[in-house]
Amino acid sequence: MEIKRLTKNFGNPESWTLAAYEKTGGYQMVKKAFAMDPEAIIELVKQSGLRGRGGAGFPTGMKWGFVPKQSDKPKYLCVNADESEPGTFKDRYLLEHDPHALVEGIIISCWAVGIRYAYIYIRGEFGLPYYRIEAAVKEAYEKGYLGSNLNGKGFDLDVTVHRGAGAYICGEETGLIESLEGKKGQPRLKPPFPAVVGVFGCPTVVNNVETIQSIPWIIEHGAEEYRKAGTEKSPGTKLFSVSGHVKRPGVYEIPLGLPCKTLVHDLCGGIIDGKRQKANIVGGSSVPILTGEEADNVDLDYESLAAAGTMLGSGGMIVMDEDTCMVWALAVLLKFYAHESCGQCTPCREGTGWIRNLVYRLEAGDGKREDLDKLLSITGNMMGTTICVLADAAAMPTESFIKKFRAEFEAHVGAGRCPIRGKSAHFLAHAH
Amino acid sequence: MAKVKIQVNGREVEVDEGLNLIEAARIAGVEVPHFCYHPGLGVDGNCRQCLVEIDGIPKLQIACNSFVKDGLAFRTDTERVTRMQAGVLEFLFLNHPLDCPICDQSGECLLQDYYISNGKYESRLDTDKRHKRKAVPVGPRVMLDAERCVLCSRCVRFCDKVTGTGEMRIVNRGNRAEITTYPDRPLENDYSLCTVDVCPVGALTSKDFRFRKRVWHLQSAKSLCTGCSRGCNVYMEHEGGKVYRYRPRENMHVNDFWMCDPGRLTYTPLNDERLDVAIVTGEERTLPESIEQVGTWINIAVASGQSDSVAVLVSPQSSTETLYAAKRFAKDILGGARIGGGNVRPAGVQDEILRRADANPNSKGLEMLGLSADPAAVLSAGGTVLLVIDDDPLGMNPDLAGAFGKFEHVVYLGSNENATSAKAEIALPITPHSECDGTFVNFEGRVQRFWKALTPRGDSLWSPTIMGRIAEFTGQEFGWKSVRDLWADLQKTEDAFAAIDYASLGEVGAAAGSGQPASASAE
Repeated sequence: MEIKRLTKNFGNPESWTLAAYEKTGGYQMVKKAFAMDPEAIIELVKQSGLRGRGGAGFPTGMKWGFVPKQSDKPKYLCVNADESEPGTFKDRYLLEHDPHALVEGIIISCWAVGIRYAYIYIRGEFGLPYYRIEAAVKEAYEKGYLGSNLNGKGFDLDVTVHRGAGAYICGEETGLIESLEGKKGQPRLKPPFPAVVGVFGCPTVVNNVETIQSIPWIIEHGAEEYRKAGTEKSPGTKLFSVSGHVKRPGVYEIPLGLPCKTLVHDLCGGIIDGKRQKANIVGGSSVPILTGEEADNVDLDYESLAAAGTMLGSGGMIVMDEDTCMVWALAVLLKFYAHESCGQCTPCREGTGWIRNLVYRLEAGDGKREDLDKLLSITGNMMGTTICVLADAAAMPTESFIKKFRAEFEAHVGAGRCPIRGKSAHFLAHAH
Repeated sequence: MAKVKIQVNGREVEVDEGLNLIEAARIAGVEVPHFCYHPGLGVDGNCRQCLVEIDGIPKLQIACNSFVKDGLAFRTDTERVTRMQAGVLEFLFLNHPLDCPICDQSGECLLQDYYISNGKYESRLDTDKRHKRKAVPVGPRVMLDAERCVLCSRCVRFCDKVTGTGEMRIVNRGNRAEITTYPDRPLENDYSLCTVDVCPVGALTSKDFRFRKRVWHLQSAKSLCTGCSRGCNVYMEHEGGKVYRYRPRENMHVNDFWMCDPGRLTYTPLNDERLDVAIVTGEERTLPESIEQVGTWINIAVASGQSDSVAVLVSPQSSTETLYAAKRFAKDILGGARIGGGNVRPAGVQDEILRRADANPNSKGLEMLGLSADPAAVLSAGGTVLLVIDDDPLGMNPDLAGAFGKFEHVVYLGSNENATSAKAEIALPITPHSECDGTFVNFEGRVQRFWKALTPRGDSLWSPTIMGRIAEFTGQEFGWKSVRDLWADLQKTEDAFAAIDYASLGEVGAAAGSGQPASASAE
């Protein structure tokens, strides 16, 4: 059920060191890539069908293709290691256990796209992953994998690790760029897109850690082999980070298209204490929630999840058992989004706070019946009206929670407290 | 620029290629509501108020960041657009205080305007409003109310892009976001009051104007700032015979959308310490008897063949019409009187944006009429009558007192009481630029109009009229009933103005020499 491509070194002794990485064939793919024409590498990535693993699922090869071939400005790669989506912790594992694979992926990607400088923008709260990747970059420099004239034909590459300062929105690619430039992290108006005008006004590729880390494997085994896992439209493997009420939470690398039921009930051992799976957020907190029944009948790939009305997202799966109060769960999520909205666009700045307060009120049992339809109307005004998708990320779960668990929301109306948990979290009292 | 055909709400219009949809809609007579876009500050795309439906694009798009191309069609009147625009407004009102009764912006507030035009929904805001700082002096001239702010970032972009001083920032995230300045770095650049102009709501208000007048009582006249030789175009806003403020008026040839703070505050002499009745040796007199006294002196000089004993001291503070009338008075009525004048004001600050060191609005007009001269030279040798027109040469340069003393009679024509009016034997009230039509010529030679805003205060008269009445005592007259009459003569007799037709000056003026409201003369 699991296919270990990106996670193959997990568990090896001191897998994060250069010595351990080289022992398992590390950095051999750099040599292979240098012998290839950069164009051929982009073509190979296109053929592999690799899609961005940060959440949007945009085809990686196509993204690389948008970067102008000829540019009088240096090109940049930003590795998005600002993993902040609630429920998502796959990149953290990759950075902790196999940081050299990321460095190798960076070298190959930069060679393919003609990039001179790479930044690894890493979430500020990450401690161990930061120390591991920082050490790996240092080792790679010392060993001559990074620096100048890497291929003997004048290919230079410098990699800088940059720590974020604690904002979810800096995981959005243009928010990341702004932050990297030393500005307040808020998404940019597009167009122009980063491929043309990115970091410091230069052409820039922004890719997720898992995406870049997939590149050496594709170089080694080829596009055809890569497609042997996964489905036609969702090729390859994907890391899922499963949390919540399962017996064995953790990071699982599975072929795309695996039934969700297999991941939850087999790999993760099912629900704790044999309880019922009430709900499942399959792809990180921003995606519409599924009921337990829906989750048990869906496959984990881009197209199946879209057909089921949700998204693969970042693969941050949150499983909830029958005792979980959906109003409370939504309140927790909305607390996050209202706190993390950058405040730039009106519908998001005001909308996230508004729906949060309404859900807080419902959770406390002080809500009104008409609040439910009001919430649906507000989320309707938030979706698709902003620069980035943070507004949608708050609106979509809200809409799906209410639509799928409406009775539970209604039970809270006028109850004076949460009828499921028997108490209220008093979010409003602590709102700031 | 190439023209393209587009459709706005089904109506075909031809517009310049590359315009954004807000500007294009305006040409079609359609107002797309917006807060953050400003033609002088560019596109930011944060308010999301200007959502429109473009044919062929499923999602609503912001009009500010969408640009016309041939055949493009968009609508602002569909159910979806209307609903979304009302939705965005509702979001803006969620935490907006109901301050309107005590808010200075009330009456010229985009939130109010758009609520009437695009909102009008039933209120369903029943959660507590978020509170932020109120009445924060962010600089010596500007007050901030953070609760009223819609975070459009116009003020931030003004200080970044126009002045380059970068005082304003938005701090904090989400609905905690607020406009602020850096610690110990107040908003004190010379253009800080422009942030009040660009603020679409009552977040930034002018300390000079706030709480002084409800704006719907104000009347507005197109006018010019007289603070320096740039001649920034302004709206002169007044009520009850009093000017309350200047606001910059768009003129891409001169001042774009802006004006400086010192210039903006130069309206006060139009209200204060006005000379509005004739004063003869310290006593108020009727205007006719005062004019008669001056006319008698002038007539004696003319009749006795002593025209050269009369001197006329003019000022670059005067309008072109005043200067021309004075010149005709000296050269034709008197025939041979000394005339000239020049700057007596200390040089001001010059910058790369608008401000000019020359603190006079009409130095160029003075020069074009051939009247530039050192005041001391005009006055030397003394004589019978000294006519001083406008400004305050004695107040600015007390050393001139000796030269003044060499004349038997000193007559002052001006609009304010000052050291010169106090020294004059007779002071006659003339209308300042708020109370008559006229022109100034700015440092680049652009002839610009100002329009009469107020009825003349007290006994004040248009200076060519007063000079004409004085002339009548010599049996001569100008025959000008209006600025147009005067300009007909001016065009005929002054080469420098030959190509300029007063009627064609329009709102943006014309470059002297071209006779066109010329874009060709823009910098």
